[in-house]
This record gives sequence, structure tokens and C-alpha cells, in this order.
Amino acid sequence: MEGEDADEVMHMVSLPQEHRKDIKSTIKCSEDKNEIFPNSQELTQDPNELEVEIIPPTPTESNKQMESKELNIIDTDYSEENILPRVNCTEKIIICLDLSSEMDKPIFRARAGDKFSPLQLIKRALSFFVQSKHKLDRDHQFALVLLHETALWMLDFTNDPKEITNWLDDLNNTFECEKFDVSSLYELILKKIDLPHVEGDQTICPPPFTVRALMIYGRSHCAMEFTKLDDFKILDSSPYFFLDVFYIHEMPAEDNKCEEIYNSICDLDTKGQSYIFEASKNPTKLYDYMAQLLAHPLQRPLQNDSTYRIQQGGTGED
Amino acid sequence: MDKKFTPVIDRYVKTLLTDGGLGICEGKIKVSDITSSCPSLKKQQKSDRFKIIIPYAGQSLMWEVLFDCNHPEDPPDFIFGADDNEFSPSLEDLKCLSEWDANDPRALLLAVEQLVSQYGHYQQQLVENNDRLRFEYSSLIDQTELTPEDIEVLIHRSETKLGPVHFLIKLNVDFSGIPTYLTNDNPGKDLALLLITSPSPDSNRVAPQLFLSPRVEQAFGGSANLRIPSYPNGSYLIDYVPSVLQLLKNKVEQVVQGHEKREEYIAAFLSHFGKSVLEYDAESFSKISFLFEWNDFFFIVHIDLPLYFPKESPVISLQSVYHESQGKPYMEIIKEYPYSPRWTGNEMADRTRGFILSIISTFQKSSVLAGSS
Repeated sequence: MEGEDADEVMHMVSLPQEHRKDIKSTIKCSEDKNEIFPNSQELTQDPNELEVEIIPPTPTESNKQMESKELNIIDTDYSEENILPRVNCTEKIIICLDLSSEMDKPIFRARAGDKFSPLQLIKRALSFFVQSKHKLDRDHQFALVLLHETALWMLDFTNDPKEITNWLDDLNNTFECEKFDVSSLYELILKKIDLPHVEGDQTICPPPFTVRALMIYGRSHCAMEFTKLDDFKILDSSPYFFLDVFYIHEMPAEDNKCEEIYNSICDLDTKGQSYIFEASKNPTKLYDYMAQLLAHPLQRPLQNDSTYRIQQGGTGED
Repeated sequence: MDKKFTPVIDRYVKTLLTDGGLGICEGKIKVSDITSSCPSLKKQQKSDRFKIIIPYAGQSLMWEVLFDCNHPEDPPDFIFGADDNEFSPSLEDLKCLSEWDANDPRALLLAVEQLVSQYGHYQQQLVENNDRLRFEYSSLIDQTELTPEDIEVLIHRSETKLGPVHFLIKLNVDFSGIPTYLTNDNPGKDLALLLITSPSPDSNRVAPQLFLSPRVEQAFGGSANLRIPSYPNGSYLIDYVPSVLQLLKNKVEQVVQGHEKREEYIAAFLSHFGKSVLEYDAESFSKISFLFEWNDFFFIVHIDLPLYFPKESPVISLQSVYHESQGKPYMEIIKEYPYSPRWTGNEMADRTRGFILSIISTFQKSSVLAGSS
């Protein structure tokens, strides 16, 4: 039984070979490098490393919580990607911010020694995000969802970044949470959004807008639950819906659930189109990743293929 | 008191207002000063007289139209402007009036059209009677592609002198190559008119004016982008008009080329830096932004491509992802950088990379400084 599950789960979370690159052993010296996920080092995504990508973790017991076998996504062949026109249409971005009390723990440490909580840093990074996104295109819209034990809709779509930053400025309360039902997020989104229908030739006709859920999850001790599949399937099946996740956590250890949570997050990315980041300890990385999340889902490369080094050579971009 | 026309006259006027599109500017006719010839004590006066304002040669002709409210089926009388005492077309040339069809709602419109046409002939006579004007007009007709239908002349006459003189010339430029996204908001005509005004036929103080339909103006990126040369002293229309025509044709060419060149630029930058792209304008190719990293320092590069690229250089800005200045992400617009419009897109990509590498260290320092203040 476990073997079967393992096979199916492996299939679902792993991308086919052509999307992977070899891990180079030339890893830049970073003081945090060896401390993150000591048991499975490959999970670190440090953009300073050339051509490193996240290898999906080996399946563990926890994946059963995802009820992965019922998602019925077997034999997904990503070599025939969902080709969409590379048009910079308007984005409707739903910022899903975790407000569990873990977001208040000062787990980030700057070089100088100052400590910061995830919430402090994320508020600032989100301010950069919405302002930068607005500069890229004034029509992009933002909405705000808060995550407690379920997802709660807070702010309707607006294209004014100040509305978001004002709201975030006043946000200071976090809550003890025993659990998190991620399917509630999908349910909420489906209720609030009318996804554009596919009109005409999907590979040519651009949609009027795309929807991107940007989930910021900050719990190391509270695993994700998945109670209902229907809304997830509907959203997931739309070519115009995207999920990006920013996972913020303590150092993975025996007494926390970081690895398990990270696995669940990766399981949500069924099409291989999501951008998934994880950060811990280093504040700079948080801003770096937030900047990478600016990329338009219809125009950005797959996360594995993205590279930012401006110097020529050694990036394999040509 | 209500200034209402009798129904018969009302029909004529309505048709005049809606269907009238006279002359090379295809301008609308306006109606004003509505009065009645038969004052009555009734509340509702039966108006039967009014003035019409007709666009002609960049000016307005104001003629009076006089119906008779007691015989609304009779054709109206016309009174022309005070300057045009000598304009008296014969009835033989005015079939619309001599064979006035009271039942045709277009009767008045047709009559006005015929009168304007006759007025054109009358003005033509004035041109013929003046050596200079005759030369100007005939040289345009003979030596350019302009036809009489493309030119409207208006010469004011007073007892003492001839003038001001107005030449309104329709410039036939092919605007069809302009990419549609540039004219999306303006369905409508493509029209370019050159109005040349002179106080007298031999004056040196000639004032040219260019009029573009909104659609064309939008395609050129606004009126500021269309400067025509001043009229050279002692010059003739046959020298000046073709130069303006050529200017317009060049502008169209530049706009069309600009689009192609921008597309090439974006394609080149995508082939060099596509894996770092954040967003780009995939329709009009007017902008592209990247996220780059240099020595662990991430930064954003915004590039804006102007309408008249490559003659006008792209605008490059650098933006910080860590530091703010006055509540906004720190940003620097690069004022000058090595650039040549003759470079290919690929060369521009290479050179831009090189340039950014040369200034990035300074930018990093500035943004840290800005962030800490």
C-alpha cells in the first residue's frame, strides 16, 4: 500500500527529467547554507548557486494527508506544457498572508545581529511588491486574504498599492492556530472570483486577466490540512489560475514539521508552473524572493529555468 | 418663446445638421440665430429664418437662410456674407433651388452643397484674377498630385485690398500602415490638412498651420510631435506644400518603423535575458523589465521604449528591491548612456548589459544610502 502511494505521489510531485538541471557542486559560500534542512540539503533554494533547483522530497507519511491518490493526476506529461500566449495581461493577485502567532517569532537575523519576525519583514517586502508591480503595470490588481485556521477575505481587489500598504501597516495582531485548512483558501477564491473562460484558441487568445494566489505561510509547527478537493480541482484546472507560495519557517529539526509542510506545499503545484520559495534566517533572501515573485506568470520562465545573474557566461541562459 | 421650426422646415434643418459634411475637412454645418419672419402673439413662434455656419478653407462662412413660414414648401432665399457682394450664382446653376423638391428632407442640404460649390467657383475666379494667386494655385495642380478637390481657397475682399488669403489643402498621406493599437481609441478618419494664411497675395508673412484628425494625432503620439517648418520668406506653395507632405510621410514611416524596431529590440533582449524577465509589453513593445543579480545584490531594470525609437533612445531606470526613498522603492533614471540608433537589437542588449555592470556598484551604494536616510 505504501509502495503504491509512494509511486503515485512521486509521479505527481516530480517534474520530468528535461525540466531539471544537475546540481552543481560549486555552491557559493553562505553561512546559512549548511544549516537549512540538514537532512536534505537539496531543498535549499539559494539563487546564488548556479543551476540549483529544488528536488522534490521523497514521499513521507505526511503526504497521505494530501489525499494525493484522489487527485488522480497520473501520467502527467509536462513536455506538452499548457502553452499560453506570452501576453502581459492584467493580473489579479490575491495576497494570502498567514497571521498565525508563529509569524511573530523573531527567527530572522541580519548580519549586524538585529532580529526580525517574519511579519515585520513580509510587511515591508509586500510593500515593495505591490509598488513594484504597480510600476510594471498600473492595471494590476491586489486583494488581501488572511490565513488563520481557514482563509478569510479581507480586502477586495484594488489597483492602488497604497490601499494595501495602509492596510498592512495597521496589521499587528496574530493568532494562535491549531491547524490550517488549505482547501478553504481555494473555496474562498472560487467564491470571490470569476475565472475567465477559455475563448477560442487557448494558445493564441490571451485572457482578459489571470489570477494568482500568492500564499505566504509562516508555520513550522502546524501542518496543512486538505479537507475538500472539489474547489481545488476547479481552480487547478483553469489555465489562468496560478499559485505561488512563500514558505517561511524555522530551521528544520526533529521537533518541527518544516519538511512535511514543505512537501505539502509542493504537492499543490500540480502543473509545475508555480513559484515556490522557502526562507529562514536570512532577511535579504526574503526580499530577493519577493522580487522574483514579481514576474508575470504568462511571461516568466518555469522556476527551474529562471536565472538572474547579469554577468555573462556560467548561467547557461543562451 | 419657443424657437421651433414648422415641421417642414424642421426636417430640412435636421438633415442639414446630421448629414452635412462639407468640404475637404468634412465639417459639420451649424445653425444659429433662429428667428421668425412673422411675429405672432402666440406662445409658439413659427421660426423660419436662421443662419448657417459653414466650414470653408479653415474659415467659417455665415449665410442667412430665409424661409417663409406661411409658405414653407417654397425654396428659401439666401443672404451671403457682407464680403461676398459679388457672389451671385445664377439660378440656372442652382438646380436644387430652381427645381426645389419640398418633399425631400435633403432639399436644403443639397441646395447648400450646390451653393458652396458655386462659391468655390466664385473664389476660383478671384484666384484667376490675381497673378500671384493664379500661379500658386496652378503650380500646385500641375506639379503635384493635388486635384482641385483637395484645395479650398478663400480670399477676402475689401474696397482697398485683396486679403487675407486662405489656402486649405488636403494632404493625401497613406496612414494605413500605422499599427492599430496606436489608433484604437479613435475610430474615425485619417485626415491631414494644411492651412496657409497670408494677409495679402504677395505678403511675406505667411502662416502655415497643420490640422490632424484625432486619430492621426494619436498615432503620432500627440500634437507636440508634429512641428512643421515655418514658411520661408519669398517661398511659393509649390515649394512648401510638398515639403510638409514629405514630412508627414516620413513621420508615418518613423512610426511604422518604430514599431518594428521596438519589436526587434524586445526580441533581442528576451533572447539575451529572457530567463530574468519580469514583464514586457507584448502588444506595442513599449516596455520591458528585468530582475538581475550582481554579487548577491538583486535589482530591477525598467526599460521604456519611445514611439520614435530608435531615433529616440530607450529610457533605462534602475530600481532597488531592498531600499526605499520617501516611501517608495529607490529608483534612478539613467540620464545618459552609450547609445546609437544604428546598433542592432543584439548589440544594444550586449552594450546595455555592459553599461549596467559599469554603474551597478554605484547604484548599490546610492540605494543603501537612500535607504538609511
